[in-house]
Amino acid sequence: MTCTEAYKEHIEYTFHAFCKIVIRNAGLTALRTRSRKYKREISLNYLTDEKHYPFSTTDEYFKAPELCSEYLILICGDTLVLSDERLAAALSRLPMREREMVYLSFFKRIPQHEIARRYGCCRSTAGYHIRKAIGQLYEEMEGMKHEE
Amino acid sequence: MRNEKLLPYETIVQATSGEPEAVGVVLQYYSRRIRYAARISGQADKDAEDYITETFLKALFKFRMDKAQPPYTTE
Repeated sequence: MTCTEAYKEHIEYTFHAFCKIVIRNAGLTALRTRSRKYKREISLNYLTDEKHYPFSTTDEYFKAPELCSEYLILICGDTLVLSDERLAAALSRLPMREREMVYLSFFKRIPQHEIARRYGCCRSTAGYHIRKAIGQLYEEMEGMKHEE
Repeated sequence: MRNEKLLPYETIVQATSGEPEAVGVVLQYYSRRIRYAARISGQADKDAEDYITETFLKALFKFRMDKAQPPYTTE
């Protein structure tokens, strides 16, 4: 390896650029981690003050189970029987394609690459759609829970 | 026209091969930058600073001289 002055100088500059980028990116990661944490964390005082959640809960399974009603939903030509009203409602609100992807992935346990092949996209796209759909389901079901 | 403020080549070689003293020099050199990157909404954050230092130390040993191409010369 040539060890000329120019080479040494070049290494010095390269190293400096490398360090700057490492520090900058680490700083961004730290910031992101922190903001994510802040989003999830709620002060305990606030929760108890506002009476959002009681400190203890009573188990609900001693109550007489309500009449188990069934909800029918048609996906991919199959009829699905769901016993959860919220899930059925949220699922029916999803777009057709995503509903089918979720169904294939979670109910039929078909691997993502196979789903992707059926819909003519790559595996990561299918995964993205499924993740998005799940996020939407969560949101809808949370919303319905608060409405009750 | 050479930037005299940069870390000398010898220090870089020693630091990337894990010489504790040279690593200390490098950390010292970049400490202000790390502290600057670690401030969150204008306030210094100890956890973030530790995290950045840790990441930086890990990355330091990944710096490869041979990956850095020699500068282009038109001679």
